[in-house]
Amino acid sequence: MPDPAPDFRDQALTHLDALYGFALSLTRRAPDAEDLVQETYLRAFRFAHRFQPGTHLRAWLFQILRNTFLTFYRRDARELAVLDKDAADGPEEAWEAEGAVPSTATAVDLERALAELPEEFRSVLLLADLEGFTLGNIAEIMDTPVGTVKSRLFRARRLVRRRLSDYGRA
Amino acid sequence: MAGPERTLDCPEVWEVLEEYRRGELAADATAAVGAHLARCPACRRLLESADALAARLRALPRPAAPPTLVQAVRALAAPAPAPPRRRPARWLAAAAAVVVLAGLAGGALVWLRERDRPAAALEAVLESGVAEHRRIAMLAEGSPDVDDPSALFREVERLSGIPLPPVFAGTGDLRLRDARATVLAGRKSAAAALRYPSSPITTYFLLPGEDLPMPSERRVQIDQYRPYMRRVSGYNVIYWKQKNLAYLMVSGLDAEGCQKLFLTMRRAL
Repeated sequence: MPDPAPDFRDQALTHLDALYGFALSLTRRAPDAEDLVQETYLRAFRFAHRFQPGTHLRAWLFQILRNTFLTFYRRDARELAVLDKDAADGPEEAWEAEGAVPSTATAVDLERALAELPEEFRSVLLLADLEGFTLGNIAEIMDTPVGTVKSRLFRARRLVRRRLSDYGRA
Repeated sequence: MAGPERTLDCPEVWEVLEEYRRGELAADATAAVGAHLARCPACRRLLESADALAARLRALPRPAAPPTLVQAVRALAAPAPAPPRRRPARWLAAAAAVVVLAGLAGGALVWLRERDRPAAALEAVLESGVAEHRRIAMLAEGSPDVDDPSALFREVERLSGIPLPPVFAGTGDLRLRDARATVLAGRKSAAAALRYPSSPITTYFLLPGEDLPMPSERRVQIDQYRPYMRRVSGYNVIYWKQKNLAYLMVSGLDAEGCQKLFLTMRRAL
C-alpha cells in the first residue's frame, strides 16, 4: 500500500486543534480527548487510501473521530432514546419557547448548558454553529438524514436556551 | 420585484430556515424566504435567535491541542521512520560539554542529572506502555481476532518503521486481537495485543531502544533469559532488549502466566 501523500498528512494535521476541541466536548476529559484524537489520526492514516480526493477531508476526520467515540468511549447509549423522541418536535413546537439567549448568561453557563446536552444534540450544534459544516456534511458525520440534523438543531438550541434561563432563575 | 415570486407561509420557511441561515439555498428560494422574513417578525425572531446563539458559541474559548498530543500525532504522521539514534554518546558528550562550560561544581551536578537520564527515559517508556496497554486492551476487548495479521503488520511497519516478527500474529491458542503503530514516551513503537481465550490481554511493544538502559536490579531468571520484570500500576511488565530494539510486555496475566508467555514468545524471536 503506498504511503498517503505528504499533502494528505499535512492537510490532516491542520485540523488537529479543531478535532481536539470536538473530542473534548465529547469526552469531557482532557486525557480521553487526547486518546481519542490520537486514535482518530491512527485510523485516518491507516485508511488514507479510502479517502476520496476532492471530498471534504475535515468532515471525514470529524466522522472518524465521532465514530471512534461512539464505538469505544460512550458509556451511556440510553440517553438518546429519551430525548430523540422529544426531538421529533418540529420548529413549531420550539416556536413558543424561542427567545433570546439571556443577556446575563456567562460563557461558563453556556459551557455548562452544552455539557448537559445529550451527545447528539451537542455534536450537531457544535458542528453546525461552531465548526461551520454544511448540513450535508453534518448528515454524513452523524450518519443521519439532513431532516434529522435540522430537527436536532432546533431542539438543541431550545434546550440550551431553557437551561440558560433556568440558571438565571436559580 | 421581477417575476412571479411564490409566497411562503411560516411552516414552509421553518423547513428551509437552516439552509437559508447557512447560505445553502438557491437564489430564488433565498429571495422567497427573505421576502417572508421581511414581513414576519416571528420568523425573523427565530432566525435572529439562532444567529445569536451561534455567535455566543463562536465566542467561547477554544483550547488548542496540548503539545504532547501535537508531538504524538506528528510522530504518527512522519512518513519515514527516524533512524535509531546513538543517544549514550550524545548525552555523554553533551554532559561533558556542559561540565567544561559550567565549571566544575555546577557541571558535576548537571553530569549527575544527565547520568540519570537513561533511567528516567526507561521509566517514562514503562509508564507510557502501561497507559497504552490499558487503552489498547479496552479497545481490543470489543473487537474480533485480527483475520489478516500480515496486512496489518505491513501497515504497522509503514507507520512505525518497526517490523513485527511473525510470532506476534499468534501461535496455537494465543490470538492476535490488535496491532498498531503508537507512540511511547515520544518514541514511535509497534504494538501487538494478544490473548489466550478468556484470559487477560497482553500487549507487546517494540521500539527503538539503543539508548535505553538495561537495569541490573529487578532481573528475573526465566529459563536461559534474564529480563527486567516488575509491576507497574497493577500490571506485570517485562522488558528486555534484542539487537537495537527494546521489547516491552505489559500483561494482565499473573506473574507466572506472564513469565510463561514471555518464554513462548522470546524463544520464537
